[in-house]
Amino acid sequence: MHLPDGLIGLPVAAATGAVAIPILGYSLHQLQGALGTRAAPRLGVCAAGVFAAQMINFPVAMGTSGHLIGGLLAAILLGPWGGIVVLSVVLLVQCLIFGDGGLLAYGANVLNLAVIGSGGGYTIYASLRRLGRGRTGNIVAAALAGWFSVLAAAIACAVELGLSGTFPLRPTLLAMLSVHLIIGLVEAIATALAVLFLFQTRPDLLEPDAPAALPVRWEGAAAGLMLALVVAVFLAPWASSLPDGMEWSLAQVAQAGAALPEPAETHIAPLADYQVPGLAKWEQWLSVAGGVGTGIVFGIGWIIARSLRPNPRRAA
Amino acid sequence: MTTSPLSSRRSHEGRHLVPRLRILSAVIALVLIAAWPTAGWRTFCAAVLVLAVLQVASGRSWRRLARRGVVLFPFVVVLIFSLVIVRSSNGISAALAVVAKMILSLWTVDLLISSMPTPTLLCGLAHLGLPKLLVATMALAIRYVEVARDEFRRMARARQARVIRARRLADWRDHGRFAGTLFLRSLARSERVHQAMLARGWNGDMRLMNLSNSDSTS
Repeated sequence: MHLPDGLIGLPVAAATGAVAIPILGYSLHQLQGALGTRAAPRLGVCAAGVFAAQMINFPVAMGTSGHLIGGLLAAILLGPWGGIVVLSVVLLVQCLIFGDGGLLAYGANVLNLAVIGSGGGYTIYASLRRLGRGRTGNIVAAALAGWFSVLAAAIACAVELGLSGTFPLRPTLLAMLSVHLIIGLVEAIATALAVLFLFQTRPDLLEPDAPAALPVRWEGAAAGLMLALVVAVFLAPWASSLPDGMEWSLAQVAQAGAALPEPAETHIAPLADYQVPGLAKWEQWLSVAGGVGTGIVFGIGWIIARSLRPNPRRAA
Repeated sequence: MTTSPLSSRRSHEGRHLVPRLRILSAVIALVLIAAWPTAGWRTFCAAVLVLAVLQVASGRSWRRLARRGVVLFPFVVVLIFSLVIVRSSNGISAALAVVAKMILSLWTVDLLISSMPTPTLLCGLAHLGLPKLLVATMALAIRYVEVARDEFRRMARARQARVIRARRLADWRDHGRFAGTLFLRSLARSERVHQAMLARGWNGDMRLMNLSNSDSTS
């Protein structure tokens, strides 16, 4: 999901940057106001902590493993603005120090991983948390938010690749979602376990009103928008008109792009004339897997909150 | 002395010009690469030549560049894999073009970041108008990345030394604890760092050293 340069076209890079960078600027402004001189050390050291947390490998089936992205956890502890800034800084350091991830694609990466993955994930967490009570509600909300934020970020990434013309949208979306069902599961379980641990050690950090956040109405709207996006993409294979509608809008965008005086974008889609056998069937399986996965995440969150309750003598 | 407070731009403009120019020219190069028509293989060869000359001139090792390039490997595999599945006719040259763009872009960024020390890079970013808080946060993140990673390694080794069990479920729970612990310790450390910075006169204004030798003469 972490895009290098060269995969997305200039218009997409410009558009994602135009969305993501002002949000990042606003987040910085908010934090400067809320934390003052404390802002830089707290965000910087926590960004380093996210780096280290990304070294933890969670074993997944068949010898593979996934790692925590940590965006949601950072947002839970530092608030949505803090999560956005911390993830943006992680991305910037990865790009400019470790040479991993694009500089031109920075806006797209910030949009996917920081704004959607961290800030958006937080809105889902905060909204769902209100539905449940106490520890169980909190942990189930964290698990579901981790799951949905990873899926939403993957969808955004696939759409960006599709709009760039590097890959066609539908197979990209399929491939991205197939992979990120696993990654989302890892993120969901890891975040839920980390929140459980925080409940045992520092429950005060998880107080609902601790971090300065968005107004409830905005939070709910953002969470609803993200959930609707994910659900719509997963339900799309069953409603035959919706994928076509998406392709129609893509064609409109492409035409609008072609009508510009300067045809700067000269990408040719390598897979333009794709004919993958069984694509529709795969899509339907995927949407079932998405539904089942949501149930599994809910169940795991519930189990983590309930039955993994540690022995109080050992918890100390 | 090459100390330069980030906030004041009055002191010797020329000193900060070179890092800024480098960053800007790298960004322009990236834009050109992104806008490059996929058919122009001669352009590609010319770009490779230019980058190779820059690489030689900067005296950077090729092995390091190759090691950085490994990052692109999964993307290249996915591109080739999807080509095999789809059996598209015109796809191969277009896919090669995408790979070429990825390589050129990575090479450009690598040249940019390996040609100057990190403080100089941060100085350049600050003088390009990046928010001060962002640059200061980035500087502190860079400073504490290795500290946090060492902490993780210590925790992992301590667990290895003390815990004799290989149950999957418990493993997962430990990983969750690790993540939580890392965050809690980061929060605590950030408080200590903040106190120490205040003790040394921190007022929210980052001072960065421009360490680039070639710029200090102007």
